Amino acid sequence: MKRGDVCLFLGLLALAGLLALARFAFAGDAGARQAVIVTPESRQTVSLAEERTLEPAPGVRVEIREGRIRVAASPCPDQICVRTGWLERPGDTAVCLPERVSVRIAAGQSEVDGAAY
Amino acid sequence: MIKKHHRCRWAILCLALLAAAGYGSLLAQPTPREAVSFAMGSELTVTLWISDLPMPPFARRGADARQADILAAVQSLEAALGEAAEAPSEIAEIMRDSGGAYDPYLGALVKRWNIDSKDGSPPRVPADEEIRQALRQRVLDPGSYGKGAACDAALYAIARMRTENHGQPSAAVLNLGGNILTWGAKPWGKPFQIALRDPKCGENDTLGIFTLKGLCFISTSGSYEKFFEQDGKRYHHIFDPATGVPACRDPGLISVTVISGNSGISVPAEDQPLGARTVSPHGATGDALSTACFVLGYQQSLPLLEKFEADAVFIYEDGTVKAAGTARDYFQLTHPDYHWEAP
Repeated sequence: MKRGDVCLFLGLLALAGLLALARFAFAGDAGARQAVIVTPESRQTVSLAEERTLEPAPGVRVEIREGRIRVAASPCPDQICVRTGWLERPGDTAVCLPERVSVRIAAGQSEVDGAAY
Repeated sequence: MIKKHHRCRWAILCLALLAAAGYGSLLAQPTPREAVSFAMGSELTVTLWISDLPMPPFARRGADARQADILAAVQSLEAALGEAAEAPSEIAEIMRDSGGAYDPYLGALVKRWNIDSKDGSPPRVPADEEIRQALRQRVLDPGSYGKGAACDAALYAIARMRTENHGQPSAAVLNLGGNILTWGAKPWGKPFQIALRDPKCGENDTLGIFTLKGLCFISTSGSYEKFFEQDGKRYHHIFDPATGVPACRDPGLISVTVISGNSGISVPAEDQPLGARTVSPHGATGDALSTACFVLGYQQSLPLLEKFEADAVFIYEDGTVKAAGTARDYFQLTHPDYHWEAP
């Protein structure tokens, strides 16, 4: 093989590698950290980079501050979602069952597949 | 004799084909897609691994439809449970084999304690006479096996998908309010990693990790889930049928996690209505077993677990963790406050 062939081979290999990487990057929402807010009617993905306050259900206030997210207020009687506090790591979840709202930090590629409790 | 620039072109063609084949096989590897909904008073998360072939948008739509099927299966089971007056036969079997330490007919008792209060009225400790009276009434409360039975219903829905010829999931993880069902095989033969939450601390602290393959069901019963305090004493929601008060046979026990399954599932021959098939390979029994084991305590649970071919992890107030069966082989403690019982 000539030097040109070797270059070509390496070039194509790099191209295949790039394609593979691109695919994983798009599939796994890599890069910016995101949270998923789910209600029975809707599902929205929000970036944690942007500081904002949302109201996915009446009276349920979800806050994003400094790359973290929490349920800041909810009209529910048990307040479990509010007491869960700030969510920081992928897979962290706060759920308000009475108001049917779930907030979760999107899990990356290598995270666990679920949490038992 | 092949000329130099011809050889070059051949090389380009071959390598381009190789790259395309590589990309194609990567695309064929199933990717996980998650859907969150609400069922049985809990959050239901369904994660399906579906191959992206021929194109990712098709897989996305396929996953959406299948997740909707699973939710529908869980909801129809929920309706069937609400109407049932008798527990399914395996549940009755656990009741018998536990020597009465597990009893799904404590509906009247649970109502007296008002621990599941729907209208906001506070729970309270009933008088002794009230407890005796409530124990005599036999009212079915599917709470101790309902979520497990729902996971079974979902499993049947998944199993039925296998008969369709494309877009079927190759693996699935269901999480119904902390009850976990795993099914199938992840790409590259990777096992399922399931975290067990620390029963004592915040919502998102992990106590350890289960590494599982194939069909498994994980159910936890603990005194930390629902409780109230009266006169400085703490009362939890798992009652001992012998006394009618919160179970305390094994001092310091705060939670039991039962792991059952890992055999493979038989697909039901015909599509029976879900109500008629309240039973399940593992979910309902695993769910009931965790309650039974919490009441029985470690030592007394061992024969029961052996009979139902289930493993378990027992967690104590002081941080001691005891394993039943082979659980120690695939459960790794990751929290510094917890340690295995000294041999």
